[in-house]
Amino acid sequence: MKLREIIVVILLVCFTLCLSSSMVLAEGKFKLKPGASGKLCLSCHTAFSAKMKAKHIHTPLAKGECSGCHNPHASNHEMMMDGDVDSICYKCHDSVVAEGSVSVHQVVAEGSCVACHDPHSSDNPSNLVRAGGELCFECHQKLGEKIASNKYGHSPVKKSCMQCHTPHASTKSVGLLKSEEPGLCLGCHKIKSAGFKKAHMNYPVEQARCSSCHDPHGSNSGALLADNVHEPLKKEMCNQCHNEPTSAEPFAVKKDGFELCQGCHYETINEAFAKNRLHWPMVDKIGCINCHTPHASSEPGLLRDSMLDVCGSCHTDTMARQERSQTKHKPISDGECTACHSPHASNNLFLQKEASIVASCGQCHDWQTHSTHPIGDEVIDPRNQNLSLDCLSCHRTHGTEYKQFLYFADVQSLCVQCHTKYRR
Amino acid sequence: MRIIFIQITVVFMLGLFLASPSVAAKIKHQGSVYLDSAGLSLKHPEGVACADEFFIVADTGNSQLVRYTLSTQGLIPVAVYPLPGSSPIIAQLSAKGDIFVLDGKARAIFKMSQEGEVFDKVEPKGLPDSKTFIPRSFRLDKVGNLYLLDIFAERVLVLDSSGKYVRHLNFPENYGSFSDLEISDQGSIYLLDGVAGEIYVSSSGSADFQLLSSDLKEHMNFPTSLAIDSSGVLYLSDQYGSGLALVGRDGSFQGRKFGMGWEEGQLYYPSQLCINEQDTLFIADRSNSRVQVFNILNE
Repeated sequence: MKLREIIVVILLVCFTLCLSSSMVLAEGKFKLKPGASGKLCLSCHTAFSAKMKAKHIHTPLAKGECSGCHNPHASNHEMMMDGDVDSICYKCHDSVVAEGSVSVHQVVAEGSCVACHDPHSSDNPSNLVRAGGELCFECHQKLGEKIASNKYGHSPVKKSCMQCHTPHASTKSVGLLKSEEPGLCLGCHKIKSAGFKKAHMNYPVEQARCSSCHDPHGSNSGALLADNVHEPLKKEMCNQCHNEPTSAEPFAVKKDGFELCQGCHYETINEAFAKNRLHWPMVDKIGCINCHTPHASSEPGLLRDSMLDVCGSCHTDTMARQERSQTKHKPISDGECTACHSPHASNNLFLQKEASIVASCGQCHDWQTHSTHPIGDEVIDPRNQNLSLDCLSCHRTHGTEYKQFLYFADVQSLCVQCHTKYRR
Repeated sequence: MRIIFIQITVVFMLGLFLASPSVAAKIKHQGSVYLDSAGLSLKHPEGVACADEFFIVADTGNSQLVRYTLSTQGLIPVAVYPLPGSSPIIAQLSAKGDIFVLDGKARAIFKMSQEGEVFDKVEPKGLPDSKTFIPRSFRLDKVGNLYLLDIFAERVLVLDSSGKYVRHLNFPENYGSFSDLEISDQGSIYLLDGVAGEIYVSSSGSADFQLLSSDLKEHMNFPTSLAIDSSGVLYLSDQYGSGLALVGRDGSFQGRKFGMGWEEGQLYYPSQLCINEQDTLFIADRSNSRVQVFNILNE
């Protein structure tokens, strides 16, 4: 072999060795140069120098591994993410929602981790975007306002929501509670004292659900009873509805359904029974407490929950229609179903308060100012001889997929339903 | 080669056709009734009971029942049975032709003669426990037994033709809200849970209910009434969805019929359904203030 050939072979071997060593040193799946997976990024993304000074830095960033979450070349996702923003966190944090969880935080279920966590760094532990309750109350705004205005506070609430709740998911209880009631409460509240028993009229409340009377977030009533207290409870007359505390079944009620409530609320119930149309849940076995709580509630009228949630628990389709609707009906958005409906009974269809649809809508809408179209009992619907024209002839009050609650996509399509000679 | 390709294509298309979900029944509009025998417009009728040659409409808004004949001459109103002060919402016919009607206001069932004379109120005799009962709906079987959907005591009460207690079946656990029931010719009892979108069944002689169909809410909004045709297909009146939904005897969803509207063949908040032995379907098209009649053409 000639010297020239030997030199060429040696150079080729050296080149191959260099190439292979650089390949070995290349970082991650993108085979980047040393530092290019993260540290190199900071040479352009200089604003991150401030982020890097925060107390808590997300591990990949601290290690200089921007490519742990971002694709340095191209991406189908915003922020050059290397995966769907709703699920990329689960690549590492796969145990956030344990199997068999009873309740899951909505933002977790939606994969909106960044609603609470800064994916880069934060001065707060766990990279939270804000500290403590301040973060929770950004979404749970009404609750935050109520807690701030409460006359009587619950000390764990003042410390942290995490005293009772778990932030991601709970395998133990609904409401993201760390454990079920009453166990959770009894961790702090001792039940053996004479005062505790006396305060509860000797009922074995340690077997009951504390939040059926008490508001764990604080209240304006003594003993943290929810703001609106049922009269018998206020008067410590539990045995008006329940068996005696010494009986075998102290929490059993003396009568079922509406018959129990009728003893005091006879006027309301009799008035409802005199109407043509009854809201059927009122007379099933559960009766009034389908919608009302029998002890105390932070909602007016002792409703179990907000009116929208109470009504929506059965009328899911109606609520969904409003959600989908391009135009929102304000009473529904405001959670005021009773603006139009009578929840117990009515002589009118749909348990409407008003016999006339025009009169019902006219409470808020001065229809004559938006249309001169004839409506009323005297105006026969051309589509059906038995109907007269009213607001519902053109609009569906809980919304449609079109604007202004119209049944059709555009006004022309609507009008030609009756004005057929203009059909194209 | 070409022949083999054609054969494979034909077999594939045939397989696709057989595998695809289809609604077996075709439904043809026969007619509608708008007026009673005195020429008064029906007002929000919620109930309809049917036989082969006549049907009874619970004309709820006018507090009356209206009798129609069903013949080749059409759908002819022949009599009005006034029920002043009442709110008739569900009607049924016994095999003898007696009329039973649920008054939603009194929450009671009244028995009437074929001529519309009110005999008496149905009062169960010999109930084993709770004396209070609230009938949300009811049905009659061929021998005259009465099945009451008693939502107060969470049970289906079975009474004989004299009102005497025969047996009861407790509601299944964890239901939403039952709005109707139906009895098949074989004696099975079907329960409709409109809130949860589920159907339960209790086979003839069984003491409890089994879930037949769930997740129906995917296909309908708020079903309130139930009827069964001669082939065992269940017809659900989807009141808030203004249409019908069909469910097979195995609980499978088989499709929807009709859509929201005001013209004939369209529905607007329908309520009670009835299917007679000729597979004629009667729909109380409540918010259209009429009853529509269709022929079910089972294939």
